[in-house]
Formats: sequence, C-alpha cells, structure tokens
Amino acid sequence: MDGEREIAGRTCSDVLAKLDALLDGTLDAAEREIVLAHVQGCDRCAKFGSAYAAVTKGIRALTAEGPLPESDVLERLRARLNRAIDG
Amino acid sequence: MAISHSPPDDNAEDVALLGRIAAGDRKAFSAFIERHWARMYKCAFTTSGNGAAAEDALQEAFLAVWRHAADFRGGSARAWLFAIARSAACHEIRRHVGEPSSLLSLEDLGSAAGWGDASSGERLLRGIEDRERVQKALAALSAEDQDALLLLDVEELQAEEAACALGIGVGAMKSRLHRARLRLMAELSKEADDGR
Repeated sequence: MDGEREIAGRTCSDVLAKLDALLDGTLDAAEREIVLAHVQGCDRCAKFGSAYAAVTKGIRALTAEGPLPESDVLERLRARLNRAIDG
Repeated sequence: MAISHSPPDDNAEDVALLGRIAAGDRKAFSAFIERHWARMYKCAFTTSGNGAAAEDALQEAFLAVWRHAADFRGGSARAWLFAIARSAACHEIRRHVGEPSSLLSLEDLGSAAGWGDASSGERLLRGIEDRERVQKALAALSAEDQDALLLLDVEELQAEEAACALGIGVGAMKSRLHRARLRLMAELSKEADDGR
C-alpha cells in the first residue's frame, strides 16, 4: 500500500493480516492491544477496518433479516421430494 | 401453513432425526426438512439470486439427506447438512468467477477491496446498505469464497465445524474466510464505482 505506516510496532500490512482475528475475537489480548493502538493512530486502517466489520455484519443481515420464503416453496419442495423418492 | 424460522440450534434433535431417517422414517424426514428448509433456501437464493435454482438446490440437498443419512457419523448435523448439500446441489447453481483468491497476495486482495484508499470506506458502507448490491456481489464470488462466508458469517458455525464441512484444516478455513471477505469488499467496491 502506498504510504504504509508503522505505528505501535505494526505496519498496515500486519494489521490487514489480522483484521479477521480482531473482528472475530480470536486475537490474543496482547496482540489485540497492539493492533488497536495502530488502528487508533492510522486513519486509513481505521476506515478500512470499519468497512470490513460492516460488510461482515451486512452479509449476516442479508439472510437473517431478509424476506422469508413463501410457504408454497415448502409445499412444492415436499411434493417434488415425494415424487423423487416414490418414483 | 405455519413456517418455522427459528435457528435449528438443537443438534441433539437433528442427530436423532437423522438416525430415524436412516431407518426410512418419512415423518422424521419431514420434520428435518421443516427445521432446515427456510435457512437453506435463503442461502441458496443468496448465492444464486434465482428462486427456481434455489428450489432445485433444496430438492437435491434433501434427497441427498434421505439417501445418505446413514453416512452421518455424529458431530454437527448442520455442518454435515451443508457438506452434503454442497456436494449434491450447490455447485450446480454456482459459477466460478474470477481468479482464485489463493493466487493473490493478501495485500493485492486488500488493495482491490479499498485498503489504502481513503474514500473507499464510505463507498463500501453505502454499498452494504443496499441489499440487491450485496446479493449481486456475493453471487459474483467463487463457490469457495461463498462457502466460507455462508458457513461462518451467515450460518455462524464454529471454525472447526466449517472446516470439517469443507474437509480442510481450521487454519485454512480462517484464511479462506479472510480472503473471501476481502473479495466481497472488492466486488462491492466495483459495484459502488459503477453506480457512482
């Protein structure tokens, strides 16, 4: 990345590699503090990290909060399965 | 007809149902379908963007459950269901698009996703609010990327369960998810640029 920075002992590339673990809560506590210190001092990593988190939540919402399938989908599915199994 | 949309989080009941299905119990099969069809339909519709294709995928997936329930060896029934559905049907409705993400460095994927671009964050945040845009971006991903996102970000399986479903190691599963998220962001960035 142009203008890559080293803040709190971590480069922007280091932070990129650890964004998923940071978001998923699997980064160990000490490394988490270091990565967060970088993010707080780096506006570009902060903005990208926010977008990364928002996209992840957005995917979840797409199915969790999306419109429910019509009940006739289930009825058709049952009919098709019965035909396939019973011949 | 009432539709159950509660998360099928009771693995013990799923395991019991699969045992009965393996013995040819149609009532158990019906109950298993009732527990899972809505979530599976949403996943199939999300990845295909097509209702007819999603229904075809569901039929193939549940037929595979009926035929192969005896092969279930315990563990997470949802992970097993995803794996069997994936092999039976999902790949029929998916297209592999673009270069496999494993060939690109993380930095290259990040750059495509807007990493280092000061204005990309706002564009992405606008994109993620647009349901159709997200669905289109997700549908443009490879099956490998879709699997990672669906299992972990949508279905919220544990990394170990998802890795088991895909037959890969946990480390590889996490790496695949990270790359898939970046690939999705890149697709959303493209969409945002096109719509600017």
